[in-house]
Amino acid sequence: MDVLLEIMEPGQSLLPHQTGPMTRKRVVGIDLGTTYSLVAAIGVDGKPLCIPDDTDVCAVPSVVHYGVGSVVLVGQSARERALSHPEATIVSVKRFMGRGLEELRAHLTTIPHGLEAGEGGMVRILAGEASVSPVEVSAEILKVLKKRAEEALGGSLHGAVITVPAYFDDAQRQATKDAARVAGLEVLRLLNEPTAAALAYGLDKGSEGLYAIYDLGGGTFDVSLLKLEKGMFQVMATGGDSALGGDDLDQWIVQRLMTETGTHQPGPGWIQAGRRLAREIKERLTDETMVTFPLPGVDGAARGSLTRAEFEVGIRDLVWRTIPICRRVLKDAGVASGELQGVVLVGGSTRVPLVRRMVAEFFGREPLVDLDPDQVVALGAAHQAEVLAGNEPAEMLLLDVTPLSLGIETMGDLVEKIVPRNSPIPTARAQDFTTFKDGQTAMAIHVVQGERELASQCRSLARFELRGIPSMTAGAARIRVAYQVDADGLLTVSAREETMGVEQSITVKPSYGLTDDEIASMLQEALQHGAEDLRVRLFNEAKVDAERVLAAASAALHEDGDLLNSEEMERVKRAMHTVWEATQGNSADALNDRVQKMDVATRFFAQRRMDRSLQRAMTGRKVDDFA
Amino acid sequence: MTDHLPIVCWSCRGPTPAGLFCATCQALLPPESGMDGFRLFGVEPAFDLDPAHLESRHRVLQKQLHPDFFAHRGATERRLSLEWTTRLNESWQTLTDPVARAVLLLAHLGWKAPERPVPDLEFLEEVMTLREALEEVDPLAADALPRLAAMKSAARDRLQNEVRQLSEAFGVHRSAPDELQLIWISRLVDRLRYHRRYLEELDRLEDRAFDPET
Repeated sequence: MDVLLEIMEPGQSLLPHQTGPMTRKRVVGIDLGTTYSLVAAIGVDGKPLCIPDDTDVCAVPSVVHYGVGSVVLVGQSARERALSHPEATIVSVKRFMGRGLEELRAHLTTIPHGLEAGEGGMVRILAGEASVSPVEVSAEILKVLKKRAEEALGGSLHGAVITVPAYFDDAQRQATKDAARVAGLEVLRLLNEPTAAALAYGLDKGSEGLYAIYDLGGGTFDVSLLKLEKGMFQVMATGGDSALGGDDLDQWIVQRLMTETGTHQPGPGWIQAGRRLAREIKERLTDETMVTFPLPGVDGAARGSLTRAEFEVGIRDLVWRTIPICRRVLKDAGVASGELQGVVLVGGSTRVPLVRRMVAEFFGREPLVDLDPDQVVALGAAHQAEVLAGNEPAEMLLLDVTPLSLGIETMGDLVEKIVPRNSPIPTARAQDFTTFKDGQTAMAIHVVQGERELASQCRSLARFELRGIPSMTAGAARIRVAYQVDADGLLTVSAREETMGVEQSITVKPSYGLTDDEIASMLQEALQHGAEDLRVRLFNEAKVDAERVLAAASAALHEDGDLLNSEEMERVKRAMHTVWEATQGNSADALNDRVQKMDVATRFFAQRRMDRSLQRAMTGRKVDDFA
Repeated sequence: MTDHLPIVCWSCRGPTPAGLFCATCQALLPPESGMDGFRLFGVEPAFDLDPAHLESRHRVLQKQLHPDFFAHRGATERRLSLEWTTRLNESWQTLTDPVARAVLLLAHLGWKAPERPVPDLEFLEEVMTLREALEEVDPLAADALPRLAAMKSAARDRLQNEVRQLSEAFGVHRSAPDELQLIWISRLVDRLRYHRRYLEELDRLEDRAFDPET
């Protein structure tokens, strides 16, 4: 009896790889923030922990410096150069993700960099001698976090859950996923930041009910309403503003500093210095009612001052912008604020006293602040990464929604909504359209996202043309446009003409990001081990499938092994053994080949099982009777 | 999900009764084509459904089918999980929404919308009155918020009333409604749909009254 025969005995573990303790996959959760980024993993006690650097600091400033001779610095060392090399140092790159040149020029007035149009409608940032895309800049931050995690966990990462603002649109999500790929990170899931925070909070407190998560970060605002019940976290509604955050509060102080110092055309150095000072003033005003400070760019002992009251008057309108959004989220969820179990504050900007007061006033209750608002998102992401990797069973199932409506442009710049906002994901919707001219053989399809009624006011995600429509009279063709949103919140669109039985199908992944080729070439440049990573990934995918095939065959033998004589049994097991051997190797091709051979070699067995089952059905006896 | 003939499992290639998972190897099976929300949630086609039952069934199915549980599995199961949960979410939205549920039920009863519907004159008059009331509201006026709140409350009552009528109509004509009865029901559905849009319109005005920027 060979090894396999022995382990196939009923009641025992089926295969060698399942007998040993399951190897834990190394996975992490990453909060890729506007101001700071963090990486977290599950510690020895089963609780998520943020991974610190060698000086015991967890948060990596989201700052990237491009030095001479393609030297790239990330984090604190980059931030230290923001003053001496302002043009070559990029801060808050998250605000650039998935955005076009025009849009950024309209929103970001004071930045120390030149911008230029890049590929695919994307922007490029001029940083010193380099011209880089926001995706590449974010990838630099991710690489640092990846390296830190690999050193702490003692080996290469299997994958990561990366958080994004719930209100990020498709282009911004796609850009984030692209950045991870450029950094050589496998994305297990893009997780919405308030959902990640709620997960960490819910697991920590173990309470049930309705919660509002108010998340004001460095550059983005999200509010989500979640129902926590019987091991399920259901997002009822979400809203936000992906261009509103602590940076805007700083900006108000910067403007004031400009007025006070009589600065009209601030240079790059002044901007970086002004922003840093502004952040410091804002942070100090959390505990102090008045601060004084040396004025930037003014010689001597000239000092300025700002009181908390003045600051609050100045930023009131900005903070107020979050309130109608909170109100709409409650309305979309059909919930009154009195029904809430709690309001949880997330994000560093919720430390600003005015923010807390306005939130408390609107919701009619004091918000909960008992978790570290800076870490909670990364901790939740780390927990979810464990679940997705199969390392531990899901204690809590997360059900999320689309933040913004997805639509299509129809005649006259109007938008027809196909997937309304707050639809549970994954979701798929289809809509039929027709031709408006006789003999029309092509149709332009423009995919947009947003709540506005005019396509030109919504975010344009993709344009493509469906060709090869059979020539018919106007209105006779039936073109079905289908939208699919997956569990990452990413959209795929396909269109097809259906009347003539002619199938024309095209699939578009809307992308402000990069084409697969561009990413592949970046991977080559950035990572010497890019090819090796890819090979390992392909093999792992093949192995997962081969293990499924082996487990299925074992189950079939257990159930219907009596259909085989000993010689046939031997044959099936030999085929299984060769597959098992290949799972111990490292070649995806060899493994797939053996799986195929096994499929052929065991086909007769599958046939006999089918025949027996049909015979049973024909004689009117239930399959269960034989079990 | 009660078909008697076994189907072929894509994974172990053996026979299995149709359902969520293969009886032999536990692989996730593809959703049956043409399975609608009623069947997925295991309820008889009807307008009045028990919300508690729907909710618990929704939870049970999500906990078996959600993509999070298949992220570490092979490509086929990941795709099937996506297909299942897409359907599950769609069905959940359909069954918990009175208009969508009524439309699905009408289709079950063999109703096809006529090319040229007979206008519902009585209702058209009501629509005119409602529209006029809507046009008179100035969201920037000082009393806009309380006024809109009152209008919303009345609109919600009308909505509830339509749902009740629909429930009665479907209850009475449960088994085999004739053509006229179906026309009557479909009119009630149109009314319900209108009242809901009206309520959305009031919501938008309220948003503007609260924050003129929107």
